[in-house]
Parts: sequence; C-alpha cells; structure tokens
Amino acid sequence: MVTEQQTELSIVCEIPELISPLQKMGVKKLFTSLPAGHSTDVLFAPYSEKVLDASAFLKVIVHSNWSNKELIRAKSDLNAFALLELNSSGMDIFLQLESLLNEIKIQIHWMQTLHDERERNKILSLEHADLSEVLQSFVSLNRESLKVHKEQNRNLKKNSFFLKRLNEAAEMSEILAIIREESKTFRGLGDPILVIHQKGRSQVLFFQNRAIAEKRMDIEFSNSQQWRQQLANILARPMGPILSLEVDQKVALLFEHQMSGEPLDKVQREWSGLLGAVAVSVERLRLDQDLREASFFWEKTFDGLDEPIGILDSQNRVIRGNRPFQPDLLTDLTKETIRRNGRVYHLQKYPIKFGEDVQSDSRVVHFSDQTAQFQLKQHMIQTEKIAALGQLAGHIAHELNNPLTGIRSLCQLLSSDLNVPEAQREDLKEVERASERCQRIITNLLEYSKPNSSGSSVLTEVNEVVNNTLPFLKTLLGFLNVDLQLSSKELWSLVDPHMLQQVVFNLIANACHAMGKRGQLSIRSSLQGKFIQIEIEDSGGGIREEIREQIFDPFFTTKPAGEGTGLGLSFSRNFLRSCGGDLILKKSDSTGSNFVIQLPHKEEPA
Amino acid sequence: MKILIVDDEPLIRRSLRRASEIKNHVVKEAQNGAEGLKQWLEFQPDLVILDVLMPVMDGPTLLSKRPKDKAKVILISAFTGEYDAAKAHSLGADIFIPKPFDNIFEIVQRAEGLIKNG
Repeated sequence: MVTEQQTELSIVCEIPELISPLQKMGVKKLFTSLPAGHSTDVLFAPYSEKVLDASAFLKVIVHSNWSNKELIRAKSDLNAFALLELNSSGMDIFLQLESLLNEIKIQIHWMQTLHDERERNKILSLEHADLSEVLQSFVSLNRESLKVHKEQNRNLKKNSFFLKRLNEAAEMSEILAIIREESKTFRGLGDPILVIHQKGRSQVLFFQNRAIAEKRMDIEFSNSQQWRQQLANILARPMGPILSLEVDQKVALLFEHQMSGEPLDKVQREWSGLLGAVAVSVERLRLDQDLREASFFWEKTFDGLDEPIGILDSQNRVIRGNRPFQPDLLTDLTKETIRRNGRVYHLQKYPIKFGEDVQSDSRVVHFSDQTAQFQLKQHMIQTEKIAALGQLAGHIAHELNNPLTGIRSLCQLLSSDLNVPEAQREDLKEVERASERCQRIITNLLEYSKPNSSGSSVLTEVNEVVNNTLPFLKTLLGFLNVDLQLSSKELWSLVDPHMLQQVVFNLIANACHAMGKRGQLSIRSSLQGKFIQIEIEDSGGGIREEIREQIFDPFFTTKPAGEGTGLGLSFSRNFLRSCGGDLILKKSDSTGSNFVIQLPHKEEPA
Repeated sequence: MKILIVDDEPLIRRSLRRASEIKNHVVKEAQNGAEGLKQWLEFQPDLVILDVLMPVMDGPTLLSKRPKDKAKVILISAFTGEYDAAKAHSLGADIFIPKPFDNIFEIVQRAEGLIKNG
C-alpha cells in the first residue's frame, strides 16, 4: 500500500480543472507551473514542446479526444507515464486521478526503491572498484617485489656462480680472468687490474695483449699519485680515470673506466660487495702457494740429506723415507752399526714428538754415515800397525839376514869346492840362488818398511823398482797370467824409490783384486817423449763410469769396510804429481782397466 | 894372517872361517863383543871382522874398548842406513862391508888387501 513517503510527492499541474481534485486527495505539494531549471515528481501538462524539456519524474499528459495514433505518439515522444483524457465527467476524472495517483505513487515508490537500489549498487560498485584497485595494487606490488626478488635471485645466482668460480681458481691469473668475465656486463668498464699487497711491495696482475701479465712494484699500494705513476710505468701506457676498491688492506681491484654518476656508483656498490670474496680467494691461493712451497722445501731438504732417514710407524712399517733410504736397511733394528753397500752407518732412533705430551707412535730412524770416520780409524790403526810392523820388520829382517847370509856364503864355498861332486855343486848353486832371493825380499822389506817422512828423491831406475816389487806380490798374483814388457832401455827418474815402489805395489794389488783368480795382468814400461810411462793393465770388470773420478778421492774405496783404506790411489796420484808426474786411468771398460804411472824422464847418468 | 871373527851368527862365522882357511889364514871366532874382546887380547889378530849388532856387547862398544894395537878392523852390518863408511871410520873401523855379502870370497880378498896395504 502507499507509504508515508507518498504524501511528500510534489506535483505540478498546469491543468486548472485538476487542481481541486488533487487538493481533495491530500496532495500537499501542488504547484501550477514548473519553473525552468526545477524538477518535480509528477507533471500534469498538456502536450507541448515545453513538456519535452520539463524535468519530472513522471509525466502525465492531459488531452481530450486524441486518436490512438496521437496517443501512441505522445507516449513515445514525450516519454509519458500516463495519458489522462479530460472529456470524462467529474466523477470519472476524480476516479481516474485517484487510480492514476495511486499508480503514480506505486510507480514512484518503485522508482524510489529502484533509485535507492541503484544508489546502493553504485556505492557497492564503487566499493567493489576500490577493492579491485587495492587488490590490483596489491598484486602489482607483489609482482614488483617478485620482480625484485627474481632480480635478487638472479643476482644471487650470478654471485654464487661467481663465488663458485673464484673458489675453484687455481691461479691468481684465473681470478683476474673471472673478474673480467663478471665485469663485462658493465659497459664503459675497462679491464680489471688486481693488486695484491705484500710487505713493502705490490704484486700487480693485469691484462696485456690478451694475456695476463704479472709484475711487482717496490712500493706498497696506495691511492697516491706516486703509486699510480708507477702503475702507468708498468702498463707502459698512460691511464685514464680509475675506480679503485680496496679490501682489508689485502687486495685492491682497479678498473679503468669511462663512466660517471649513477652507473659508476652502481659499479662501485656491486664490486665493493664482491671484493670480499675476491680477497678470500687471493688469500686462499697465497696460503696454497706458501703451503706448496713449504712442502716443496721440506721434500727437497728431506731428499737432499744424503744420509738415509726414514719414518716408521709402531709396526716398523715405512711411512716415509728420503731418497737415499732403502727399506733393506731395516733388516735388523737392534744393531747399532750397519754396513751396507760399502758404507758404515750408525743407527740412531728417536720418537716423533708432537707438542708437549703427545708422543706419536712413529719414530725416525737415521742412518748416520760413519764411513769416513770408520775408514779413518781403520787407516790409523793400519798405519800404526804398519809403523809397528815396520819396526818389527826391521828387526825380523835383520834377524833373517844373518842366517841367510851365512847360508848363502856357505853355499858359495861348497859349490866352489872341487872335492864336492858336480851334481851336488849344482844343487848347492840352486840353494844359493834361493837364499839370494830370500835376501832380496828381505832387503826390499826393509826398504819398504822404512818411514816415509824423509823420503828423498834420488835418481832411480824405474824398471828395477818394478822388478823389486813383484816378489812381494807372488801370493796375490797367484794363478794370474803376468805379461811383463819392461823397456830394454834403462829408464831413470828423480823420485823416491820407496814411494814409487809403494805406488807400483798398490796398482798391481788393485789389479789383482779386480781380476780375482783368473786374468791377465800386463805391465809395460816405455819412454813417451819426455815422460816415462809404466802401464798396469788388468782384465777385470773395469770401473763404473759414475765413480771414475771418485776413485782418486781420499778415503774412497769400493772394498768392504775394513779392507783397504781408500788412500792408495789418492796418495799415489798426489805423490806422482809432486814429482812432476801423474797417475792416469787411461781406459776402463768391461774388458778391464789400464792405469798409467807417468814420471818425468831424467837423462841417464853418465 | 891371524883373523878374528866376531859375529853372533854361526853360519857367518863358519863361512868366513872356511873362506879364510882356504887361503891358509889362521882363524879364531867369538860370538859376542865380550868374548871378542877377550879373544882380541889373547889372540892378537892382524884383522878383526866385527859385526855391529850382537848380544852382551855390540861392535861399536867393543871398538871403544879395543887394545891399542895395529889390528885392522872390518865392520860388517845389515843396517846399511845408519852405518856407512864414514860412520865406521869414526868408530875406529877401517872399512865397512854391508850384509848380505854377495860373495864370500870377496870379503877375504878385501881383508887381504887391507893388510897388504898397511
């Protein structure tokens, strides 16, 4: 039904006949005309142009006797709500008006409701629009932040890739190359220059003709003009503006650039962040290098020690040994003195200590080479023995000389006694020869055992010396084939005969040792220009190439420790050289060796 | 002539005696310096063949105690280094012959030469 609101309807009625009925119906807001620019809820008006423009919620066109056509046209033209025909009687009008008003009120009510609805919708859609906008901006914010995150992620990825590569770099130059890869994304940024700080110096890595060069400068890095000048000198070209980034006074990164403002700041920010990682990698490489060098030095030192040193674990297994160390040295660790390969070692063992309390199970075994001392001791013993023997020999020789002289003399007498039969006289002559030989040996022994200190050079016939030496070597010569080719001419030299005899004895003895039971010994003497040569050649196995120079060193011997003193060849050569001669190893191969004694030739005494 | 042989080696004494007796010389022997001195005084030899190294009393000591007579002395020794002609002379010997002898007969010849030449 009609609500309260309806009593507020404003009606404009331009038809006079309708005024009073409308009043009677209780319409309060009733006007007779609509001023221009105003609006009303209902307008009762005749058909006119004015109605077209009138602003009313509902328009009722009042007419009389219009045709249908006119009615239709009016409704569509004027957008009329209703048409009221005035020709009806008073009561009709009243009834028509009443129903019309009711209709109008309902319509307006509906319109009002609709209007309200619309208004509400508008608000709602506004709100809805607001919400969308918020959502939209929310989404776009998210997108933005996603973008930012993506970018950050990308950066992170890029950075972690950068870090990974830095981590894997094995050389400083690699680091520089990685930096360049990374910096290529910045246009206007030149090749990087890496400066590594050292005490009082700078190590500079830079690109030069597609390769990476490294130079050192004798001043510490700083941003001073002086340093830059030196850098330009190294690069051998003038330098433009430089972006310099430094980390912890360890590493500096320089870029030549043609940038300014924001891009330059961006570069600075980005690289300042990355420089920390670069510094860490540089440090790592430096430590690596130091470690390698230390390890190298240790290895070289360890291997360079010429005494065998090994490190053993608690089970006496070899953990590490230096180059001279051979596992076969370990056959008996309880022995203090070990002989191996002609060397005499004194075994020293000591445990390895790490820190104060911790004692590792390992120990170091050090084979201290005592060969030289040992040989010296042996030599001294032998020298003393020889000296003692020399004295003894003198006495023995003298003691033997007497009876031998007697034997020889008596033989001479008997062999010239014609009362003695011929055969026996011949026998006696043989006995005499034998005793003469004994005497010669004794004479030589006496001469040989004389002390050398006052050895004096006298004019000596060299062949005689050789001949005198041979009897001493009868045992040693044993079954060897001896080929004696002494020169028929007498060979004289100014030399101490005793010493020369020792030299000849030495060489022949060596030759015999080289040959063992069977072989050929050749002894030849000759005059070669101004020199006398005595060659002693054996058919032994020869002397190894590696030791051919060493054999003349004092104390050098290939005989097992205790046999021989290693002094023979050394003294022999020294002695011969002091006489103006020499001792030469003329040949040594698998067929044997040939030693040559050289002495200056002195003209035969008149 | 009368020859006194002073040497501790029997074979040397024997051979010297034999070589001398072949030449009809009269020979006496002594086996050390002390005995040699005794014999020298008793026998009064013309020639003494004297060894250096002997037990009890050695040759040089004997020479220092010898009677002051005209006997010639031949000093014999194996020590060729320490003793030579000069040393022998300074000790009072006339000649020095080193041992070993190459020829026993030669010794006697030289001895005869000494006496003959006075």
